[in-house]
Amino acid sequence: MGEPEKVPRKERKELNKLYREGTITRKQLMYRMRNGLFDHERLATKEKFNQFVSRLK
Amino acid sequence: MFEYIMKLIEKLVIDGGWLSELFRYLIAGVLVATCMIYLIRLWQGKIDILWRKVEDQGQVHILQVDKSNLEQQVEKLQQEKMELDQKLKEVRLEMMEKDKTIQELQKIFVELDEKYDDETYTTSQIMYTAEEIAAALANEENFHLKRDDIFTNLLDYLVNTIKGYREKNPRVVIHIEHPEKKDRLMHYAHSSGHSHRIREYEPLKDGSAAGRAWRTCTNYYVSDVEDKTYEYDRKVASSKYYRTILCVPLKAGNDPSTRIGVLSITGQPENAYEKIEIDRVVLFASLLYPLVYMDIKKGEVSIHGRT
Repeated sequence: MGEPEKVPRKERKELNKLYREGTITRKQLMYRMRNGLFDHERLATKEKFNQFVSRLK
Repeated sequence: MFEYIMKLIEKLVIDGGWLSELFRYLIAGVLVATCMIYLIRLWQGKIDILWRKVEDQGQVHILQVDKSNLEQQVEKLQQEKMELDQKLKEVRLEMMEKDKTIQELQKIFVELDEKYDDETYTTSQIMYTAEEIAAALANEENFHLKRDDIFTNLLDYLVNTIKGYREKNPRVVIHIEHPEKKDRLMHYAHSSGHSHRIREYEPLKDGSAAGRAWRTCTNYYVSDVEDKTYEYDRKVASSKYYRTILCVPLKAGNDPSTRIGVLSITGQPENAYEKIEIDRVVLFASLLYPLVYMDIKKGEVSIHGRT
């Protein structure tokens, strides 16, 4: 697995500013700040759960 | 020919001969026999009074048995139908229960996923904080030049991990020990959202929430600053901006002798912070410790602020 894509410092500062101003929501801040970092397992589990639920219905 | 036959019959009947007599007896006999047959059959119940044939008793019996069987079958089918209806009802109820369980499961999963989502995001904020602290420690010159900016950024990462930013309006400030006033702490750094007046405030070591955390060297959570049972500097009169304050001592591990300051975070509503958010503040206080420690030990912080 390669190095995760970190958000550059300048962009992080800009995101902080946009969030403080209310231009972006917390969800948008979370998504753009994290940029997929540490999130692979959560998304895989979520996918697995959704498939499980669709099989039950 | 026809006329000849009619003349012959006329002659025989009118003349009162033996043939005429024979006819009369024959007709009378037939009538009597017919009456007797009628009476006997009527008596036997084989015909009704109008000489209509009555159904055979055996056949009636068979039909009655058939009818009874059919009625029993209908009853049995109705019973089975009722049982099936009941089972159907039970199955439907079971399905409804299962649907409800699935919905509850989904609800719990969504809640869990949101928390997991929040945790992974918080981890990213911790990573960026650690990265910037490392960069500041590695490049002291740059740190001294851009200290305000760096600290605002670092504390903003902490603020970013707080849920409900608009409602809670979280603001962070770090106080350190006052080098001259032994009974007070002094401003060291603050997050965005504060006015410049925050630099002027010097909390008492005895008589303020930050002072309490300093003295006891433990976290101090004031869920409502208007509650007089809490130790809080009410002269600040900032309760209209916040109702909650959490003060966390900056220390290395559990050793009180290592304490260098207090990190305080305010929240607009009463009891603004959840347990997980308090834990995050404590974590960030630990993360920031090396940088604040390095800066203080370098002796570059004076009572007039940073050099």
